[in-house]
Amino acid sequence: MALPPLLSPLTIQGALTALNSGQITAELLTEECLKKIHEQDPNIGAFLETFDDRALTQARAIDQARLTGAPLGRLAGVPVAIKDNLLLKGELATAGCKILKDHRAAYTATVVARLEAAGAIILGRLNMDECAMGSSTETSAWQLTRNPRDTNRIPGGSSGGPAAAVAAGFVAATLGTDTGGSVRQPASLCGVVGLKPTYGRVSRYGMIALASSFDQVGVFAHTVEDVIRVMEVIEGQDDFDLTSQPLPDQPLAELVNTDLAGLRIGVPAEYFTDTMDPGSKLAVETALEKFKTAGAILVPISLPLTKFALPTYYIIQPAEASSNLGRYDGLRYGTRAPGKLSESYLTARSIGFGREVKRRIMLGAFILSAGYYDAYYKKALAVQAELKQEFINAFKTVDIIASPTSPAVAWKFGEIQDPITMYLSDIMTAPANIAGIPAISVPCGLSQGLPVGLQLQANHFAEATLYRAAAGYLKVAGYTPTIGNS
Amino acid sequence: MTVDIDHLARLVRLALTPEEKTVFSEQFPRILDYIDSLQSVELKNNLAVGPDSVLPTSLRADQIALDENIRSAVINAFPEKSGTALKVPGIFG
Repeated sequence: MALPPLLSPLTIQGALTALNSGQITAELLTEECLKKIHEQDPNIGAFLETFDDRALTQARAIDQARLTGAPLGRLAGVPVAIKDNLLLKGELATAGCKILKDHRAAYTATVVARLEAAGAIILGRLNMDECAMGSSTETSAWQLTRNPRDTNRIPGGSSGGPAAAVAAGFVAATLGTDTGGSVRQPASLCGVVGLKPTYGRVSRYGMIALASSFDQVGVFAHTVEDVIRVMEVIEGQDDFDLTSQPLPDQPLAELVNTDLAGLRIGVPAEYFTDTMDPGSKLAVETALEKFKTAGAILVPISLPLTKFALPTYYIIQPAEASSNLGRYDGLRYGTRAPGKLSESYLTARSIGFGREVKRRIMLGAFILSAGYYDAYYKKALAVQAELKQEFINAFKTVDIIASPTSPAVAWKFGEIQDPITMYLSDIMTAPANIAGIPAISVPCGLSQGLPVGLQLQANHFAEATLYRAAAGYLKVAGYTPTIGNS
Repeated sequence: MTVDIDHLARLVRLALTPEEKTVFSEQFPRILDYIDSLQSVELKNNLAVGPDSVLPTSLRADQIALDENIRSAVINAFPEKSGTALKVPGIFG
């Protein structure tokens, strides 16, 4: 039995249609996806591991439930995969980090449990920058991930594996995490849709923390409607994450409003710099014209604190990261480093962490030290509050803020070595994490033959507006999802 | 700005290779110069700092909800143990 044509590229909507109409079984769909991953992923490197037996067992259970008329979840039989920093009980979860190489999850993350409860089939875990620190997935302790659009180039990061897995057509959707742009930037570079929800919309329980006040689980898929289908399942309050919030009813993916007429789109001058890739700037400006043609109102705005967002981010984030990573002492699982306690710590941490992680742990410790706490950390928190207020004020006059997602398209492996240059790739995405607002990246054309992302930001918990703008844009742009370099 | 890389590494329990030490000694002052640009921000509004919008709306009941499976998985993963006591290397060796 061949896969129905509607499964190329593989989307959630296509999979559900094929499954619900009996054109395919969950078992066959799972087998076909696994087969494709085993054949093609050696050239991409998105997956660190596939969960073949577990996935096939679940797929058969769903087919059985369908046969007997038992109730099915909203994602019953849909193949998905998760970033290596989300826990699935009994499976390895290393956060791309050597110090966690033997770490098997003792429990399942809330988002993953909710996916499984909805019937999604989790095919495996996906590569990422070590401890989610990086913008190219090159800092992974395990392997490189190649951009499916051009395999000589990086997929972005830190969720490079989740972005590449969707762009390659291995699964219908993936979960990533976004602390400073780690869903939106790789989505942009790989030519897929990537959402970072409002801080507090999605539970962080069972996500290996980087910077707890910025971290948020996000979704990769080919369409906005598919992102919503995943969000409907994973979002909402969780007893195990006190920052997760109760939510009002949201529009269903099938009912999302795509009418752009009257939508006020803020265009902040600070996000359109002369130093960015001219082709990306042009692609985003062309996208903005399409909004206008569809009846949206473009409003020039100014967000003067934007230039301070990245320095703010690179103070608060390492400060929180150094605290979060303090717990990795090499004592709790796997092989323990020999010697007395202090020697054991030193060996485990020195061997177990890569250079980028060491750099940020040290930076964080410096920032939080008694002599510098006020000058750096306290100041950064004060600027964060101002920056957040700047966004809230802007959303009094506009519904959406539109910008490029990334100042550059996907670059070649090894091209960026300097840490500050690498940090600058988060310059357009970090503000949303600092302000806690939701943001989405959608494909908006090509520059140098490579995907460009349009970033749309909305006010806290205004995801419905974000979905409307993003889905509406893709509709008027006549966007059709593609996979690989087709 | 000068940074004592050795002291910083000791504080965070990291032993750096000579190469890492050279690289970090060169990079740290540049990174700090970059983030130091924040000093030029004039704070106008005297806003409350911290994640005010995400404070919990209510706390869950203060009840012990011990999952025996999680407890045993954590204990089983520990490299050295005696019954349910977890053993770590001696502080004084």
